[in-house]
Amino acid sequence: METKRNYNLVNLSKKYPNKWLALTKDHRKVLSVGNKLKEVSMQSKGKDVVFLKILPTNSFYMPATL
Amino acid sequence: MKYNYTSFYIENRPKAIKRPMIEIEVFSKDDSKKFDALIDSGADLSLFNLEIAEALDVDLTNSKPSNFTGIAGNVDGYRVDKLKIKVNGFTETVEIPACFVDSPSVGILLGQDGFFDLYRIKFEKDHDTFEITAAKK
Repeated sequence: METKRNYNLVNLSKKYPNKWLALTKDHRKVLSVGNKLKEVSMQSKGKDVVFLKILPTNSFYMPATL
Repeated sequence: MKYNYTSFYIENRPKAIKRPMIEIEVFSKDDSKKFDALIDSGADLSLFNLEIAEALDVDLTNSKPSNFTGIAGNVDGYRVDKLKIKVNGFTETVEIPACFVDSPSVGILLGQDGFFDLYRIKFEKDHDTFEITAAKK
């Protein structure tokens, strides 16, 4: 069975906690960064991107903690 | 389809934390965008940050108000019965119930109701992989 390689986002998550990112499909390049998804989306309009919300890095993430 | 876990930084931890993330495409009536989403087997329902609804212009006028309880408290949300998504690696789109919440600590969580009914998910953290197959109906 094919295994889809996922990504090492350690450096990105260290650099951009709590931000929205627009990343290239291979997650190697950040095309835009911002506090609001809408602004990040506007800055990367027309490009094939994947959006990611970087969660806080100063604590372990517990999804039940909203 | 098998996937590797995705590594993230956590302060004061010597090694990265690994999370089961997949890329999904989220559709509204006239638009779609791709996002990385966390598979959360402990969540009752799939949660989406409210900013996603705003960016995609998802119509929430007929959504149902919902409340979610977590370890640290409650949050209100807007629940829709059907949100169209496509999982990267699969060809078909599916519709899942989803709730949009205004929370800085939620990007996308794919939870039990809907998502886990449509996909069989096998976590193999000890092998740094998890496997998703379409559930047979």
